[in-house]
Amino acid sequence: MESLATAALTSWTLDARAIALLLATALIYLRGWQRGRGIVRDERDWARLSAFLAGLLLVFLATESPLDAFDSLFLSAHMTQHLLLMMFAPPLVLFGAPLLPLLRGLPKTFVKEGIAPFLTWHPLKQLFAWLTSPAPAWAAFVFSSVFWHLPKFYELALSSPFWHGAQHASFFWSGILFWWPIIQPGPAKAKWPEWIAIPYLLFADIVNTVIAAFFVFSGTLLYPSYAVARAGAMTALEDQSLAGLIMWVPGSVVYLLPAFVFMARVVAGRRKQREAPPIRVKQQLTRAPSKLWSKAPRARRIAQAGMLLLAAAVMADGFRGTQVAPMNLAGVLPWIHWRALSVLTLLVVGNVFCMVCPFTLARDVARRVLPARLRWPRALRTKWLAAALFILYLWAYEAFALWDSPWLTACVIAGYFLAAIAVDGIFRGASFCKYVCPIGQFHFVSSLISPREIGIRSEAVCQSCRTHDCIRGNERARGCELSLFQPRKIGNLDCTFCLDCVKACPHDNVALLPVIPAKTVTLDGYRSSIGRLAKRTDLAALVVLFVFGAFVNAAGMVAPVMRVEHGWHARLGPHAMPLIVAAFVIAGAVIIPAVLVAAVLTWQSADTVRRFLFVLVPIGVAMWAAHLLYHVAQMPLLPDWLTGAQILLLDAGLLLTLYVGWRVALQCAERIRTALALLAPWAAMACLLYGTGIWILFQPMEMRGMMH
Amino acid sequence: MIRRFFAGLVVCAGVLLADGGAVQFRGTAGAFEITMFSSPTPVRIGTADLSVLVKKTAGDAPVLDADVTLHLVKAADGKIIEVTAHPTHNQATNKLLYAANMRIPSNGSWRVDVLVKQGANAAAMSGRMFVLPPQPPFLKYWPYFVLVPLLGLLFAINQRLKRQRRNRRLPARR
Repeated sequence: MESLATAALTSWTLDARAIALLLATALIYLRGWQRGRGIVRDERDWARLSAFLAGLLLVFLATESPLDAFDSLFLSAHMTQHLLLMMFAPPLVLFGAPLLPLLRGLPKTFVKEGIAPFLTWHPLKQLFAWLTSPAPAWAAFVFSSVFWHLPKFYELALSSPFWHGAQHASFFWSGILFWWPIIQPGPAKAKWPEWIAIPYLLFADIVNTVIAAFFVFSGTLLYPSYAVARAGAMTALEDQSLAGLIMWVPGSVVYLLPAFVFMARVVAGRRKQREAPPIRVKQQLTRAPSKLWSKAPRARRIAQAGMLLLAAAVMADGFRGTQVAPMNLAGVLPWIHWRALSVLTLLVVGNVFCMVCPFTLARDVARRVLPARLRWPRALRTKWLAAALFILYLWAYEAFALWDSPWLTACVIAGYFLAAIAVDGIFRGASFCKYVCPIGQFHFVSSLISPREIGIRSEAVCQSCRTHDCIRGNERARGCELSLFQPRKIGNLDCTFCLDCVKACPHDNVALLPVIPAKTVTLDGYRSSIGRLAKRTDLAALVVLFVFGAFVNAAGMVAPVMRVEHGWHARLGPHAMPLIVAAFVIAGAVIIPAVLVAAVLTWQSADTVRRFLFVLVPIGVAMWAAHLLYHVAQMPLLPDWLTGAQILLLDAGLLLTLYVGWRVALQCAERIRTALALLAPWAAMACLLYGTGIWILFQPMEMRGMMH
Repeated sequence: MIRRFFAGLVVCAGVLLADGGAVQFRGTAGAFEITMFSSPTPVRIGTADLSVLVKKTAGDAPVLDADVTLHLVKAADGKIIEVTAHPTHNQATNKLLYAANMRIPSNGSWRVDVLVKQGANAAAMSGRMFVLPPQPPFLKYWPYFVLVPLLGLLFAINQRLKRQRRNRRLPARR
């Protein structure tokens, strides 16, 4: 550390959660602000934006800067922090008139379906109007100020991070309430006379002055925790006096300045200046197709080539490099980084891994010499083979400790290349991707909850199309090799994001489009090349393996499960491990779900059961993501945020499963009670999986394939 | 003058600050005054953030270029358990402190030895730190579990409000 000044100025708390929250709020506001300017322009738009962002910046400074590092033992720093949170940040945020931009910045469907019913709920509107009227707002602010400065509660906040957070939240939100009647950020107009603001601010200042004076003149240390401040330039009492002065002088200015402005207005008998009328902007209703899309297929080839080189490097290191997994590319890249990255991209974008798949690039090259004339056998045009290979992968991963063997990993990758070339070298289309590849099936199922899909921009364009190049192909590109006809394609199932259809469409009508995650799970219409989900037992079985496999795969690395496995290993002999793992995988991913499904089949039809099995996908994806996050986040010590983030993922998975289940139930039943009865067993199953996931997360984990 | 004031403020801050932890012990050893902080409060089995403030006894100036070692020792069931770490400024939120994340394997009273070296000066100080058993995870993470029923409740209200609105519209249309 170079100097004291450097040390002091670099003492930033930088809590990732708080920063993420502030950034998300700023981005939502910015998006809404920009959308708002597309509808109505106002000369104060930029001032509002600046004020709102400045308010957030002050919250950031109060909670993340050296002020926060100082606050637990330095009352004057703590007081500055409180001043920012109560008196500076809230008015700035309100000057940004945040309600409309924040609502406009959120997804429209979420606002319409999720928030609007609350915004129009009469009791809530009344409560909000009451809370933001002068008397309750003033009382809440003063109560918050006095309450948290009582020694007992102040000490409580100092000793507990939870109560410390509650104290800061209470300061900020009571500040928002207090400044609301003064700033009136809208959209509703105030019903009280303007002169009320004068006593409102003056009385608040009196309370502030009394508390501040008590700090300055009391002569006794109010908060014993600061007794450690006995050495150095200031004593604890001097620090307390400084805190009082900070509260007194800048605090009073913040109250008195607007009070004088209101006084001048009242005395002059002048109401607020009439605002310049906003300018209504003509909206552009149609969007021109992005030029980016015409270049996307080429970019895909470049990415595939990069992945192919990476796969070659992994195989070379796996075959020839050191066989210590954490020091070998084959031990680290496929099992730790690639798996986690592919799930992350599935959650943020879509099936990006299939888009950049190196195996399909190799088979495309090989097809220049291989015939690929036969059609894939009709009997195998299901997902059964892929499902079997998926469970084989789950078993082999555990039984042969693939994560720990670079050589075996390299063999698996080489085998994958050979299989892809052999299958697609003999059979037409993308038979390997559609019917064989277990990795592809993993991505197809996961991408059911992705926020993007390859789809059509306009139905009308497709209706007028006579050439159907998206599936038949043309001189520019081959058509969809997985037989997905764009106008009848629903969701991401079986879509490899190869962009052939994008390139082939002569009308530029196919693109990567935003979609509500998991919405397509609730649809049971005919899907091109797939049919109806309710009729596909093989797909439902694949989903079961995917969902329960997530829990089996994660459970395989926790201490209690490993103890049981090793116990049986000791009893049955040295070669029994593959059998023990097979029993564990089959029990967890096949027998238990089969028993549960069989139980539900006694009172629900097979079609209904098949539809509902798909609603379990979100909780399955959540478990995969939570598990893989563990591998990525491993450092010398596990980071503090990891378990919380994992639980949040499971929370999101459970909530999305319940939501999708509810939507499906409403489609299957006309009455609410019947829908609830239909949903009950699936909700119970989702909760059971959630509980299992939480149990797994709380167990000591084996840090496999990692350096320690 | 301004520089002096700033240095004074920083020195004072150095005495006061920790990474949000509690003071475990403080004392003078050789040319140094050593204060040890711990977080969370109370310290439990698992990862704990231990930080050390080193000042010169003469002049109260914080020492920023020392080599600090933390050595935790506890006797349990006839065995000696030891944990050692080298706290640094990089691991500290408050860069005037030397901090280290340490995994504490068992509960009870631990002896903490703090060794400080700066050039030719070296000093050692010992104190005690009491470690509690780990908090049950459900208590530790309860806010994460409240989220699901809370959002479930909000969704139920949302659905009810939408139904009510639909029902109100239907008779009006008829």
